[in-house]
Amino acid sequence: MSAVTPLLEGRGVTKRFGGLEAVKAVDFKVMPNEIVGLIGPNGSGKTTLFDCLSRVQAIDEGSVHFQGIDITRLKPHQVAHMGMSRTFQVIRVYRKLTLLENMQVSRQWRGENLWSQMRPSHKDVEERSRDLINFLRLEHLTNEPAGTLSGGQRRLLELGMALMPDPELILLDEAASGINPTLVEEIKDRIKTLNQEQGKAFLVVEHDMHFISDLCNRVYVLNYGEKLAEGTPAEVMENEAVIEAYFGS
Amino acid sequence: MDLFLQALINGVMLGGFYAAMMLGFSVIWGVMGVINLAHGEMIMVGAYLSWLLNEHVGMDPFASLLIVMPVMFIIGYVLQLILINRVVDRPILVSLLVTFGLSIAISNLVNVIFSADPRLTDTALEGAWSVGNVTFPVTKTAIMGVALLIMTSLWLFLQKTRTGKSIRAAAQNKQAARIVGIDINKIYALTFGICIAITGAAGAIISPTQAIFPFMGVPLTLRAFTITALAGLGSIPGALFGGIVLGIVESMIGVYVSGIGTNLAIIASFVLLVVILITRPQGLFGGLRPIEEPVQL
Repeated sequence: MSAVTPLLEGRGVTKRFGGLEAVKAVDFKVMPNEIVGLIGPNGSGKTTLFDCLSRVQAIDEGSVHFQGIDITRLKPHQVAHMGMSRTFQVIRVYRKLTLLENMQVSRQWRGENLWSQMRPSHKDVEERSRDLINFLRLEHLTNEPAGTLSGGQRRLLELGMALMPDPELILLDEAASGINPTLVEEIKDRIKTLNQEQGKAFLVVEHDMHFISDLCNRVYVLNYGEKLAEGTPAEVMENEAVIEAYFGS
Repeated sequence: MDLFLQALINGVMLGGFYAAMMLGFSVIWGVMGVINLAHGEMIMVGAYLSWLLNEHVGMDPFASLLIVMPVMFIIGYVLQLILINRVVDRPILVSLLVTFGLSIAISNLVNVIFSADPRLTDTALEGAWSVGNVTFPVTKTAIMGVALLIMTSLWLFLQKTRTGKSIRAAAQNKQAARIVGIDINKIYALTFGICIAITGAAGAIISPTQAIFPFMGVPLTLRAFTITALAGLGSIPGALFGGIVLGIVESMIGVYVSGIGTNLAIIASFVLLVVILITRPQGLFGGLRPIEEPVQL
């Protein structure tokens, strides 16, 4: 029986900023159809590791593999074409584009010729955009500029943009931060649906432990750039080293 | 009253040219965060290309757009890939110095090749139409028509095509654009190519009415600054409005202030620039993003 290839795998990922080692030789795996959490106190290196895994930041040592392919030297847009999407801690939507346009530009094709790009959006892209907008319950805002949306609505839009290319893996950086509890529940609900019905895998950075424990199959804990623990949400929450890192001895 | 109307018509026509002339400058700044100080020199190169075709092949400067624009697109595309791309992520001062150096190199190279003798192209679109006591010069009307055509085409391209939307997305958030699979280097090269093609086209259409010489670029770059500040980065309706405002200001001063009118017109445009930057730095039409806001990395 052959072992299942991890969807995303970091091997000895190390990232330095000058003399500061923000991420120290971290090994990391996300298996297909899994929801994995990444937690840790402020400044523990979560977002840096996230940036390294999604190729937004170059790594200094180690390697990153996606679907068994080494992506350590690829550019972010090339990784996106392979089926990895992400959102950002600070929401990044195109404020002057409408909701629909934000979704449309989030669907790009690898190696598409210039002539095809000069045409208006494909019909199927528009259909998929509208379907996702409906799925996120933002249909009443379809033609509004993204700059007019509330913080929570922008979070949902960002999630929609990450889903547009139909990725295998979606990296969510603090998807629930700064939004009201009702919307947090909606986001959680959408993630569960996508995971259970479409088999999408997620890697989630989050401070809210309820969010993590409700969603994730496994959790990694970072502290000072090092992997402190890994296991099910229940296991890591009972781990003494994790409790000490969060609350002190 | 006739004098006023004539000055107004001349100002609007001049403004149409200014709008088309500055669009490339404004879009490059808006999308890439690069202030292209060699912008005026690109207009000059377009004008010389048109002059060459006019002088040696007998091609009308308006017809020469069919050759000038593709050639200028290639120049822009290659220039972006081999030069601008290396400085686009660095502090704005670096790209300012690089494009400043480029402007000096281009103008002096053209000076060596063609000498400083001013040149003009010949066009079949000569003469004038008269409505009452107001005259519409055919050449300037054609310039206005081509300028409007260029602006409409660019607007449709940016609004309707997927590449246009990707360009607008990259202007607003580069990192988010990268992460959804937009190849930023390709988008930048396309943007630069298209903008230089438009800029070269402006040089070609102005060549029958304005003397072409190697150092004609600097005042045009400075006017592009003023109109961009007035219009907002990459705003096409804003460009038309800003161009026409500047054209009318220059035309009115030129007509009503005798003796020093032309020089005062240039001064007026820069007073306008300072006033706008202080009072409304985002421009009157918003555009791709506020002037004071850097491209989000």
